Amino acid sequence: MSQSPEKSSVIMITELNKIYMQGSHDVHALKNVNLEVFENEFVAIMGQSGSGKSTMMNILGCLDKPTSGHYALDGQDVSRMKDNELAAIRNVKIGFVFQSFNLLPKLTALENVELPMIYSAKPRAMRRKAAMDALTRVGLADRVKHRPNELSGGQRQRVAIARALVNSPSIILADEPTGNLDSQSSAEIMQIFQNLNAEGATIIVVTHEPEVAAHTKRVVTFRDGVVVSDKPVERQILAGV
Amino acid sequence: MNVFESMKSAVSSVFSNKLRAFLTMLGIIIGISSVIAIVSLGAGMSNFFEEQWATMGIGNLEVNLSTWGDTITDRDLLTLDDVEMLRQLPGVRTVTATLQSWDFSMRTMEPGETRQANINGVMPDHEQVVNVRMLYGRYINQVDIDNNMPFAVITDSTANRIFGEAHAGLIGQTIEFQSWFAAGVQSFTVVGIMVNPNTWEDMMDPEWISENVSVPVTTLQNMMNVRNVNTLHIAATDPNEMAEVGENVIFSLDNSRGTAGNYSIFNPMNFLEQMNEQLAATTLVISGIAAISLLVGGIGVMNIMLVSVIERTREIGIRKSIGARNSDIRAQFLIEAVILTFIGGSIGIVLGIFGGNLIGGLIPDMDIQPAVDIMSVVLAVVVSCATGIIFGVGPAIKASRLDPIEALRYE
Ligand SMILES: Nc1ncnc2c1ncn2[C@@H]1O[C@H](COP(=O)(O)OP(=O)(O)O)[C@@H](O)[C@H]1O
Ligand SMILES: [Mg+2]
Repeated sequence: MSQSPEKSSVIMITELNKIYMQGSHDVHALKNVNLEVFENEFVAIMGQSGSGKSTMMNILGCLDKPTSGHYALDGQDVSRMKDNELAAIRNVKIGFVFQSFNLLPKLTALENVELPMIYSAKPRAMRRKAAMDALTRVGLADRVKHRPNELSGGQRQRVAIARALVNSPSIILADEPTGNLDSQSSAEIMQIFQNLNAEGATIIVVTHEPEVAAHTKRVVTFRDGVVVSDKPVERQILAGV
Repeated sequence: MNVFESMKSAVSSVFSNKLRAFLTMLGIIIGISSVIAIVSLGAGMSNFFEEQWATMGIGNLEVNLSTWGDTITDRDLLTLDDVEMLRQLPGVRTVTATLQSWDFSMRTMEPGETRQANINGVMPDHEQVVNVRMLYGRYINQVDIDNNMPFAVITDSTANRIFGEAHAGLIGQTIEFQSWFAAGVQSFTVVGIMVNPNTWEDMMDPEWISENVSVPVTTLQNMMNVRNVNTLHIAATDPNEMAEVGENVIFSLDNSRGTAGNYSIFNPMNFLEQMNEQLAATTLVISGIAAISLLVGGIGVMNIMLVSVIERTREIGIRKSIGARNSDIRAQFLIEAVILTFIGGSIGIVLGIFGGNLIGGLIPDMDIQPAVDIMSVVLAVVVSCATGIIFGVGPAIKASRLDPIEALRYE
C-alpha cells in the first residue's frame, strides 16, 4: 500500500470544485473532489468521456485554476497563485505527457527535451547532458537527432516522457498517453512508466482502458465530476514480464 | 529564457519559410533602400557640384558693374588698374580680369558652317583662378599681354571642329575671326590647346555650341577699341573668408570712384548653398514617401505576425505547458518581428547602396559617386528595428495572452 504514513503527500486536494461558466447553463465539471496522492504513487484516473478527468488533470498540472477548494502541491497552495508563479511550477514541479504527444515539429528529439530547461535558464552544457540522460532513460539514445516526423508514435511519446521527466518534477501527469498508440507501443510506454515509478517517480495516468489502468497501483474513478471509487490495484500487470 | 535562445529560435523560424519572410520584408526593403539610395545620391550630387565648381573656379568671387543706367559713367568701368589695386587687399590671393566679345565668328571644317566665337580676353593669372589644363603649348603669358600679341589658346573641342583633331602640330597654326558687322578677318596664332572645361557641352544642341577662344586681354581691348574689362575674378587666400574679402573689394572699388552700389559681387558659395538646400528638400520629400512605404511594410509585418500567432497556437500552448511565462512568449514573437524587419532593413541598405550607384551611373555626363555615410546606415538599422517593435508588439501580446488549455486543444 502506498499510503504508508512515512511518505509525504505530493498532491492534496480538498473540496475542489470546477464550474465552467457558459452563459445559460454552467457546467459543473468537478464536484467537491478530495484526493491525496503520496510520493512514489502510480495512480490511474478512469471514467467515461465527460466525467471530468481532463479537467482534473489541467488543474493538477496548474494549467487551470479551480473555482473553489484547495490544491496543495508539495505542501504549497497553488490554487491562488499568479500566472508567472504557475509557469514556474509547471516548469520544475510538473511533467506533462499528452495523448497527441505535443512535440514541436521543427525541433529534434534532443531540442524538444531541452526546451523546459531553456525556460528555467539552465546553461547549455547542462541542458544537453540532462536531455541526453532523459532520452537514454526512455531508450532513445540513438534517436536524439531525429525530428518528430521521423519517429514512430511510440517513439514520439517516449520523447514526450523524456521531456516530462527532464526537470525531475514532483509529479508526472499523463492524459491518455496511449490513446493514439497500438497495443505493442502502449505496453512499451506503460513499462517506461513502471520503470520510472520503480526509480521513485510519482505518476498519474488518465485512461479509459482497464488494461492500461491495470499497469498502475491505484485506480481513482470519476463519474459526472465526482470521485466514485478509489481502490488499490489487486494484481498489477507488469509490462515486459 | 535568455535573449540568445530566443534569437536562435526566431532566426530559424524566419528562415523556415523564406518566401513568406521575403514577401513580408518587401515593404521594409523598399522603404529603406529608397531612402539609402536617395540620401547617398544626394550626397554624391552635392559632392559632384562642389567638385565641378572647384574646376570652374570655386573660391572665386566675380565682380561686375551692377547696372547700365545713367548713373554709370566711363569712370566707373572696371579696368586693369583695378586689378592692380585689388591685388593689394589683405586676404586676396590673386585678381584677374576678363573681357568678352561676341562680335566674331569662326569657320569650321564643315563647308559653309560658321559658329559663334566667344573671344575671352584673359590674363596669365587666370590659370590660377579657373582650372586650366593645358594639352599642348602654353597659356597666355605676361609678354603676350605687354605686347598685345595676336595669340590664342583654344580648347580641344574647338580644335576638333576647326582642324579635325587636336594635336601638338596645331601650335603655330593660324585661326581667323570674322566680324559679324564688318568686312575683313582678324588672324591669330594658336599658342596652346587646353582641355575644354565645359563638361556639359556634350549635352547641348550642337547648333548652340560656340567656340571659346582665350586671347590676351590687352589684344582684345585693342580689337574692340575699349580700355575696360567686363569682370574681375578674385581668389581668396582662405575660401571660408570669401564673403569678407568680397565686402572689402566692393568697398575699395566704391571708394576709388566715390560712388556706392555700382558693383555687384557673385559668390558661388551662396549658389552652392542654395543647391544643397534644394537637394535637402528633395531628400525630405522622398524620405516622406519612404516612410509611407515603411508604414505599409510595418502593417505587413503585423499582419504576418498575427497569422503566425494563429498558426502556432498549439506551439504556444505546448511552450506554456512546459513552463514558458507570458513574457517568454511575448519576447519570442517580438524578437521574431524585429529579426524580420532587421533583415529586411539590412537587405534594403545593401540594395539602396547598389541602387544609388546604379542610378548615379545612369545620369548622363555627370560623374556622381553616391556617398553612404555611416550615420544613415545606423539610422536605417534603428528605424527597421523600431518598425519591428512597433508593429510586432501587438501580435506578441496577443500570443502571450493565449489560454494554455485552449491553445493546446487548437487543431
Ligand atoms: N473549456 C470548457 N468549457 C466548458 N465546458 C467544458 C470545458 N472543458 C470541459 N468542459 C466540460 O466539462 C466536463 C468534463 O470534461 P472533461 O474534463 O474534458 O472530461 P473527460 O476528460 O473526462 O472526457 C464535460 O461536460 C465537458 O463538456
Ligand atoms: Mg479527456
